[in-house]
This record gives sequence, structure tokens and C-alpha cells, in this order.
Amino acid sequence: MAGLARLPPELLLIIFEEMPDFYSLHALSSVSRQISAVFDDHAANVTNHILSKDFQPISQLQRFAVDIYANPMQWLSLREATLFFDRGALLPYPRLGKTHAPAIRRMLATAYNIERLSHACLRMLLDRTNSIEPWTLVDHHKHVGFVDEASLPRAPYKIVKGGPPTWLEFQRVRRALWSLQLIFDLRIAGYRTGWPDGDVFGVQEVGFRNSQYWESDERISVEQVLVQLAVGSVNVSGHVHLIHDKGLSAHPVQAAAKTVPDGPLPFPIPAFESKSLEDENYDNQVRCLQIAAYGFRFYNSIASRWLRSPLVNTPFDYFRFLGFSIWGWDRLSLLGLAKTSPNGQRPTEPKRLDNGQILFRWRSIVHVPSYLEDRKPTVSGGEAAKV
Amino acid sequence: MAAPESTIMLTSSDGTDISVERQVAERSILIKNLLADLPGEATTEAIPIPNVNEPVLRKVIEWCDHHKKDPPASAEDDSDSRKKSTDIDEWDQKFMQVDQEMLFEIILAANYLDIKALLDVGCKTVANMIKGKSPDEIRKTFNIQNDFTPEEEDQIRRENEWAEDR
Repeated sequence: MAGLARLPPELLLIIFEEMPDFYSLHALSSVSRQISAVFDDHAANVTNHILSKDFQPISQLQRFAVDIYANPMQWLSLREATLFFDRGALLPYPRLGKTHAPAIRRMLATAYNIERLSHACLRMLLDRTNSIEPWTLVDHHKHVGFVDEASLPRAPYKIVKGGPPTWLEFQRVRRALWSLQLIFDLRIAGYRTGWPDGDVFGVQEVGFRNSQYWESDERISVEQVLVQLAVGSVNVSGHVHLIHDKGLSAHPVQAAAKTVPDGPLPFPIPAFESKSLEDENYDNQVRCLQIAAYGFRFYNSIASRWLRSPLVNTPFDYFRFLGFSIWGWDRLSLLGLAKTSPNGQRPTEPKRLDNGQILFRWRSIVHVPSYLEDRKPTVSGGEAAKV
Repeated sequence: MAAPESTIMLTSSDGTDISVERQVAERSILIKNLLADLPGEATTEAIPIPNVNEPVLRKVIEWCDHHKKDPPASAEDDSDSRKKSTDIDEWDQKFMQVDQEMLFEIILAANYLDIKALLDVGCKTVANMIKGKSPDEIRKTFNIQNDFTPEEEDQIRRENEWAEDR
């Protein structure tokens, strides 16, 4: 009787190459001895094939992981690793073909667990942000986005479901988790390779916090969720910047992953359309959120224009929070997602309604006139600091 | 049994003769090359397809008939289309709504008959069935026994424990 387990290796290989992501690839490669052996024989080729379909910055992180997991690691100091990573986008990574299966296996296992954690983080964040979205006025009044203590809900408000995460939200959470994981892994690998102590302990401070590739605000948001997931299993003492811990003890990413049950993912793995950047204008909300090519340019634009909406006629607060404004620390605090505010303000308490729904106090950082005029908002540093 | 000139006869592994338009049958590179190599009069004889039984052969012919006017894929198209997505044409999706045994028989037949587009559709269908599932769920879906030894399972478990045991 024909079946997956009875397919000849050359056909299994085609199916491996059809896998859309590393989560599915790792799962398939772990199903049985025969399937696992076929994967191990062609690990580098299959991995290259799937990387070629992946969103470029994530591919870069995954390739970086393979190099960290290689034994021995090739970089003799943190400087070499940083130089390599900073040039990574320009390199063809020919060495992947020479990498042994165990390093690729470990990268795949990491990718598998990071996908599970990404889903858990997104579910937790979306569950909470969905409870914020009720601040949409039924009568479509222009004052949407400016609600404070004095104007707490006076009916009518309605609940708006946020729907599944967008491409951008998936990417930001994945990237944040990869960066947290790889910083920890690089420290261990550096220690094993014999890096100077200063390099081992300086990994998170020297090379990556200010990297143009990794945004610290999204990492902070994910760290917040990891703390909640890992409560009881890791001693985080309410720390926000978890990776500042100097020890090589249990990493919060791994500790949190252990709390996520292995089972169906809460959201389908997104398979977003890949389109050329040349054929259409990318300044379109839906395309920017959903389509990888547009999202990439969009991502760059938000990374370089902190606290400003990159889309013409689209202020921050008309957007889904996760894609944009939720990532700023101050906004996290205002939304009740952060425990304390870094500038000493009192924590913002969520409001519980009679019907059991929880709403968070929310104040827009954009002037009300900007909404009324429906134009691109401008927010000065001073105004942002007041929030 | 001889077939009219524009049609050819295929004989399935279980001995059934099936008459097929030559254009349809030539979606199979195996059959196309075979016909090209045969002298003219021999093409009226039934061609044995020893690895494919009647129900599967009829299903493959149905697919070839629907796609008989598709342009032949170049080597470049082939590598490019693989890269892009797991998207499957709507008609092909319905065509592939068969039981698992038939699905894998179609894949094997497409491979044997060298019909790359059908092979791709079959493999993409399987990939879509796997996408997003954990190893256990894949085993359940495809009725695969976990045949790892305890030592191998332990090895896999350690791989999944990330960095802390290194």
C-alpha cells in the first residue's frame, strides 16, 4: 500500500523541498527513521532550498544559527562574529553546503521551538490587544484614538476582533525571539571556542543591541511575554532586560518554550504572497502588512522613523497595535502590558467592565487635530516623551 | 487491439486497455519518448504501463486531459515554480481530493510516467497536509509508526532541548 513512509527517497526529497517553513521541515524530518535518514543525507541542500523561499532577514538569522551551532565555531572572537553578521546580508553563504547535519538539525530544532513560542507570544499579545480594540466608536466619530480617564466608555462601543496575526506581526515576534536565542547561544559557543571572558559576557552589550537588524523595542515586548510564559519556571524577578543577566543559567526563551505544549499551533503558518517590489506602489496598508516584499520595505521604514506612522493618511492608532505602536515601552505601559514604567510613573491598571471584559486605558500620542484632518501625523520627541 | 491514429492504447498493470488521445498521453515524457522511438506502425499497438493499475491510470489520464493544452514546462519554469509557493490551482485541488492511497499512487505514477507538473501538484498537496503539524500529528495523519529506538528518541529530545545541555 502506498503511503508517505513508503515513498522512495527521491520523492521524499521533493516533499521536503516543498515545506514552506522550518517548523514543518523539522516536524517532517522527525517522523520516522527512514524519513529522518533521507533528510540527514540531504540536509544542506534542503535547508538551502527553504532558505531561498524565506523572508531575507529571517534567513540571515537562521544561517547565522547554523554557524553558531557548527562545532567548532569558526569565529575566534566577538569582533569576527559581529563583522560577519553585519556583512551577512551581502554574503552568499556558500558554507552552508559544507555544514554537517547536526548543526543544521540544531538550527531546525531551534526554528521549530521558536515558531511554537512565536505563536504563544502572538496569541497572548493578541488576546490582550483585542481587548483594547473596543475603543472603536460605533458612530465612526473622528475622536477614535483619544480616550482617557475622563472619557472612559460611555456606550455605544463595540468589540472588534483583531483577527489572526499579520505577516509583519509574525516577523517581528520571530525576529525578536531569534535574536534573544542567538545572543544566548553565541555566548555559550564563544565560551566553548575559548573567546576572551570579556567577549563572552559582552555579547549582548557590544554587538547586537544596537544592530540595525534587531530592534530593541520589539525584543522588550517579547521579553515581557516570555516572563509571563515562564513564570514559575525561571527566576526572572520581574526583570525586563533579561539578557543583561551575566550568568549562563537557564535562558528565558528556553524556559518559556518548555511551558508551551507541543500540539497544534493556534494560528495557521502564514504563507504570504511573494511579489516584486517593482510592479505596484507599496504604500498600502493591507499590502504592507500581508505581503513579504512590501512588508520588508515597510519594516525598514518603521525601523528608521521611530514613533511616526510611515503610511500617508494613516496615523498610528488606526493600525493594529501589534504591528506598530504596541512595541514602544511607554505605550506598553499605557496599555497595561508593562508592569512598571521606566520613568517611574505608576503602572496603568486595566479597567474591568461589568460584563467581564477588560479594557485598558489608552491615550494617543498623536494630536487630536491630526485625526480630524486625516493627515500624516508628526510627533516631536518632546511630545513622545510626555506619553 | 489497435487504436485509431490520433489515439493510442495503454495497458494498465492489471491488464485493462485504455484508449487515450495521443496529445493527452504525451503529457507523459516517458510515453512521448517511447512513441518517438517507435516505428510508425508500432504506435497502433497497446503500450504496457506495468507500474500503474487501471484506477490510477484513468485518474492520471483525467489530469493529462484537463492539462493537455498547457504549455510544456521549461527547466527554468520548473525550478522557479518550486521556489514560489505551495499554491495549487483550484481544479487541481479538487482533483487531488482523493484518499491517501490514491494520492500516493498518483505521485508514484507521475514519477514513473515522468509528468513533472502532476508530480509537483501531488507533492505540494502532501506538503500542505504536513504544513504546521507537529511530528505526532504527521504520524497520525499518514498512519506512520514511530519506529525510533529509545536511544534515537532520546537523541531527538536532546536536540530539542536547545543549548542548555551543551
